[in-house]
Amino acid sequence: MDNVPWVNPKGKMYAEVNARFSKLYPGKYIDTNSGYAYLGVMVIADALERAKSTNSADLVAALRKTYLRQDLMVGGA
Amino acid sequence: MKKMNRSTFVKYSLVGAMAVILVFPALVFSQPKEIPIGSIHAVTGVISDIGISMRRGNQLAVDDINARGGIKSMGGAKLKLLLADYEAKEEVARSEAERLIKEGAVCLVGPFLSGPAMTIATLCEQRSIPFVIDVAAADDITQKGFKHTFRTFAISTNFANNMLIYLTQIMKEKNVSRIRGVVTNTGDLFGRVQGATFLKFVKEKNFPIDVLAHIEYPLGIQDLSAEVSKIKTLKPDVLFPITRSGDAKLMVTELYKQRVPLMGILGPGSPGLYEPEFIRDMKALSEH
Repeated sequence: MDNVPWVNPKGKMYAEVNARFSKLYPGKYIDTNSGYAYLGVMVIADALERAKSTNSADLVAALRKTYLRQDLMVGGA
Repeated sequence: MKKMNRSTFVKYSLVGAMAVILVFPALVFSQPKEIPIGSIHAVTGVISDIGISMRRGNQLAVDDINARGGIKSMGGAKLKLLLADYEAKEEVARSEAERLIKEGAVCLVGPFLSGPAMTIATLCEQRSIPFVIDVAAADDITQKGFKHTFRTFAISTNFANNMLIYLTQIMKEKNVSRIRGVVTNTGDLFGRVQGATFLKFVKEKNFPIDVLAHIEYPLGIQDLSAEVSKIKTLKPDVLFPITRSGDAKLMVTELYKQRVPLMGILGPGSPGLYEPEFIRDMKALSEH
């Protein structure tokens, strides 16, 4: 038995992303590692969208205000 | 033929340029720019299965965002993933992160291991590059006052704390009042921090676990027979391992081979026991 943050099996986003991931990579599924890796990029994209800039200070300021709603993984990002 | 003077030439050139702009506005104005993001994972070395899986997670997210029209507030700019492999080594993590920054990455994302995450975070702080950690969980990395480092994942303290909350429930249901336990961890930053945090919580909360031994071994170890025979002689009820993909398989196989009687194996925030590769390779043993 193990204790780590995990995917949200009831999440719509999880079902959708995992279906494509498993199709791309047969025998694999979104687990805690690939799942949070997916989320990491989503956090950056969301920050870029709000920062409207790739400037470091703007991006850091946007990242600090991150509040990403998602149901891929458990927990807020 | 009428000679073209300078002002006429300028006039015609301008008209020509306008025509180009009118006909091919996409070329001039809305050429979406590419935003390079550095993705740094250990796709070779002792945790390569995890590194590959995480790089794929990064890439799928980038593809999804681009398919949905990129970053809309920036004219549909597309994300581009620059790839790096830190081979599960701290010194490689630093030089690879340096390379990504030189190649123009505006932000870095990764890695799994906490030691390399710490070296990347230090570098990003010096270079003022935002860094989003997707997994590495040692508390310290985001408690050093770095202004450019963020994380999407939980920290070691959460793991240790939650483990004891769950264990309290299990012990209550099973009417167990005391547990004889052995704690093992790998010797890299996360392994050491997670092992130490768990032991600290047990002690601070006066939790009814008698810790018979705390065994540490290097990341990437090839043989755990000596460690497991030591565990066997101590006769613990529960093993609390903090493993990685390779040693998790060794540990479970060895426990089975040496017929170590345990009530359970409870990972207090242990990678290695849940990945698709572990379940594929261990088959029935993974359910024990």
